[in-house]
Amino acid sequence: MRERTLNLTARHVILIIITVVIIILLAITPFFLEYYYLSVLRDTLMWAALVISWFFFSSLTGYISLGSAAFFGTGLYFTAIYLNFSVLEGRWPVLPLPVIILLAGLLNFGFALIPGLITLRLRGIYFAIATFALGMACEGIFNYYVTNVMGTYYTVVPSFDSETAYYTILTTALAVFLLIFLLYKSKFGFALRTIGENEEAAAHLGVNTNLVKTLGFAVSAMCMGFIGSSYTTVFTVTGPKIAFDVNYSLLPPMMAMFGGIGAFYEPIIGAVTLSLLWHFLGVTLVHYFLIIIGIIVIIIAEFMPEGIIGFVKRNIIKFTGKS
Amino acid sequence: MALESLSKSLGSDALLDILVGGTLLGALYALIAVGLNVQYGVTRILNLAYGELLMIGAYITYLFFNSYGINPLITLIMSGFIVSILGVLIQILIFRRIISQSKSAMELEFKSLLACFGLIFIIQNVLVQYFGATPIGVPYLREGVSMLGERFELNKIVAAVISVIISAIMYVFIRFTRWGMAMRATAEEPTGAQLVGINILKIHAVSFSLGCLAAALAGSMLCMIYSNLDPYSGTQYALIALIILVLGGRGSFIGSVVGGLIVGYTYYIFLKITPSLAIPAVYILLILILIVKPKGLFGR
Repeated sequence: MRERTLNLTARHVILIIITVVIIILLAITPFFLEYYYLSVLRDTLMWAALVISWFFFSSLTGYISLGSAAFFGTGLYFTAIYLNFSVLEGRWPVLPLPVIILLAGLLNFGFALIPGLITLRLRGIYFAIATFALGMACEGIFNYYVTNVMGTYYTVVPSFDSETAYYTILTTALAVFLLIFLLYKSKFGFALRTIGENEEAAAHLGVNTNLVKTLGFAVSAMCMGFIGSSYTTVFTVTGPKIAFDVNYSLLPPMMAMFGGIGAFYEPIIGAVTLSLLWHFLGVTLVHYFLIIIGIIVIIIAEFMPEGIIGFVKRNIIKFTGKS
Repeated sequence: MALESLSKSLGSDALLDILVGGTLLGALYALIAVGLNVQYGVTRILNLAYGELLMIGAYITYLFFNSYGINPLITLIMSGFIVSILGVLIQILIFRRIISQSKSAMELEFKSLLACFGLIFIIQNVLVQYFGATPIGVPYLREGVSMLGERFELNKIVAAVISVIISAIMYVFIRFTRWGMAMRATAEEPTGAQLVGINILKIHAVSFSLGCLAAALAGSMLCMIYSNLDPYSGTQYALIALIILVLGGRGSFIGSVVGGLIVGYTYYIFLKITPSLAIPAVYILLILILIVKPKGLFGR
């Protein structure tokens, strides 16, 4: 017993050291990495944080959301419009960037409650379809606003230099990781997980399933809003088509399931792997590369139901004979 | 403001225009939805790559018309044939294993969705690789025809008529043939169907390819009507098909047809006023119907 606790603590210490080292490395990279690699790293962080936000709600509860783009895009476009109105046109008060990011997240939290309350009564596939439609509907609404009310097809955003953009996204991503990790380990995360295991049983045990589901959905949406908002710093011009790209809906579940959805770190590894492959191989091979990714994803769906990390782990255990 | 622009853009015969235009669009949407409903109803696989199969149909028509000058209506046969064969292959090679290996409904959902993402990637990028990402379309029967005092392009009318005929054939097939009966039995109760001697693996393959057939034909007709299709426009049609599926109810043929018409009218009205609000309007419609009937209009 004693040995076991000691062992766990040692593991925790190692994990904490690794995390701290990674954070320090990420913080000092702008000093020695050139612009292109910095942008790759920045996008990878964005994807990882988006994937973990998706993971927190969808893979814990089993309600597959295909509407990440709705919240990512709302965060991004709200920030773009706010910056445009405040910095460039002087119509709205100028606020510091972190405050705007916070506002964007809170806006998303409130916004997600409405479709959450209505569509979370639907089981399985119906929920997936309703969220998928939500993403496209948001694009339409913003498109209407931009073309008919603002009278343009795109929105000009004050430009930020690459270091500012990098540090904004890094800080936001780390904050999202921390928030979701704490919630994941909390009673709230546990309640979400019991819903995923068996919703009726969770309700009988006294979990207010509707409330927990809706709040979980809203928290996940809020985090997506934070990330979307911080990602605005990358653009100088943006449009609804860019902000609500369907890839922001489809890639988070794909990246998460690529890595595996069993533990907190698996989807992150999936996102980092795919995003890095994307940027480095995608540049030279473009479409062939994406075809290969498609084939790999199908192979994972067929033969590695636990994702790539789980598959590797299982085979290491099988190979060494240890558990 | 909206009403003003509505009456301005529609003219005096607004109602008639909506009625005819919406029906023409709705008939095509109904065909798209019926195909997806057959696939989902029988195999329980939510085929998110449905829109991409539609695009394969469209590109086959484009290829045959552009390279060999074959009449687009004749290319319907080719695209239907090729894509249904492809559907059988996809079902046997990819989804059969996923269905048999999944231990729970949730696992099936996650895994089939992942496989569909893979399919989307493969199909989109194969199309981009061979045809490029520039919008395509086949100019065919573009001349206007007067119908009930309103002018409509002939190809829209032809497409709607073909859609109705194919939907009707599919209805007869599902309702009155032995195969169709086996399909309905499999959809209702897979284990029971197996017990009475139905080869559900075969039925799954047939249903899947039937859905692909509908997708391919609809895709070919879209290629005749519009000239702005590109490898990425499949998602939009997949979304419409999915919305109609939920709206009409899973496994309900009538539901898909009625849902298709409802979405067709809504879409048509908003295309006339503000095209960008068409999908939000359909989404709100979907939400409203789901509040009243959580299983869709005709769902059981």
